[in-house]
Amino acid sequence: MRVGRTLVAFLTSAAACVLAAACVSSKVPARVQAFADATTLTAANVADALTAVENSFVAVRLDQAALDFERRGLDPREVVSWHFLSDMDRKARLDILKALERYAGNLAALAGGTQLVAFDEATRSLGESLGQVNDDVVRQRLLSHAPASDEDLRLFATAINALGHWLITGAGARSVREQVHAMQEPVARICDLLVLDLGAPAESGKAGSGLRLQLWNQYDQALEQQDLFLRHNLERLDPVVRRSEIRALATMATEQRRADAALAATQDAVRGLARAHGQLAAALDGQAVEFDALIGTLLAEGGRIKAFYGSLAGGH
Amino acid sequence: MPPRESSAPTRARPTPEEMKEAFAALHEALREAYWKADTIAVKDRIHGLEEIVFEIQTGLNRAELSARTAEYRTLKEKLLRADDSLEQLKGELDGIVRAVDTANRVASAIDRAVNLARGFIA
Repeated sequence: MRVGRTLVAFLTSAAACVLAAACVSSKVPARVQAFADATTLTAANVADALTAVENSFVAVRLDQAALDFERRGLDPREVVSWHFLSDMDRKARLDILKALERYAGNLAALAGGTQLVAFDEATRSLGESLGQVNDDVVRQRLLSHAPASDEDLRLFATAINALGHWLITGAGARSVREQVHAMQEPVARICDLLVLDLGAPAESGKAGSGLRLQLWNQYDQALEQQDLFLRHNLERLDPVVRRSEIRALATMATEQRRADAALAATQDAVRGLARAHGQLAAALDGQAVEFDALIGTLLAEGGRIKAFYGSLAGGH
Repeated sequence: MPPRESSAPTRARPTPEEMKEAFAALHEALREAYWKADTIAVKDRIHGLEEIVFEIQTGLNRAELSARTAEYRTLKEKLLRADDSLEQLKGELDGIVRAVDTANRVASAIDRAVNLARGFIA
């Protein structure tokens, strides 16, 4: 009995020390989880950017086919080849986005997020089960030589919980820190490549590049296609349809700028994600950083960009 | 008989960047011309030329993006290797959660057994 109480006392004091240590690094799980959330949102927005360019590309091809139908007709077999990026190029990008998400998700799980939730639930259930076993019948008949008080059992469950936290967060935090440092260069390079992919529209003598150039050019094509459709059919359209098609032309011109702004914002988010990964490494080393503000901006902007891509679904 | 040297001046092959700049300038000139043109016939002809320029620009752009695909694959492998080591540790830590779950199941089983045996003990 005395040994049992001594053990509970030892575990309780160990738990107190562990909890005190945990308070010092209590921001780590939340920060790693926030980084994982920002990664998921940014990856989804980059994937949406790829989809937006593909949808617009197909829409341009379709509208051109409609304009040229009398002259050229349309071979339905051609339609399946209407892609801006090949399947291989597109898959390589979607794969890297998934791998980034998985990496950030694993960091978050190891930093304490999901595993600690499962562990807390398991120890809570254990406490309840032990309490049930300790009912009067067991106390009086089976454990009559060494009865444990309800307080002893509560302390025991608390101590197990605290030691588990220490093991999980200790080993997890070490591994997270090592991996975040080791992955600085690859993550920065991935973000650099995605920024290059997003590119820039042509302006003031510069050729432009990437998805932003492509989408801008596709809108240029789409605007002329819509204008030609109107001019060729102006006399045949009834007034209501005519007004609606003219409005569509005007809307398309505005949307061209909004779509480019969304791609530019996605590009900024990717740059921000690379900075956040760097700041996460510094934060895990205990350095003062502006990580929280940076992640807050990434999440807020990411939500806004996501809403815009949602409104674009299906091309022009 | 030695090969005759060509007297024509050798023209350096344009770089992809020079090509992109030339076609971007052409696209811009044609776009302006299209919106200034005042007959459908002229607009049709200009748009036809623009279609060709669009295809060339798309091809150049696509090639530039495609050239980065191999590097993405290499980087993906690095990420997956990091993930493997994270997942391995995650599995080990999951063992701690499972150990408490097992203790929980044992305690529940004891509780059930005690309740069943209650009639015999009392």
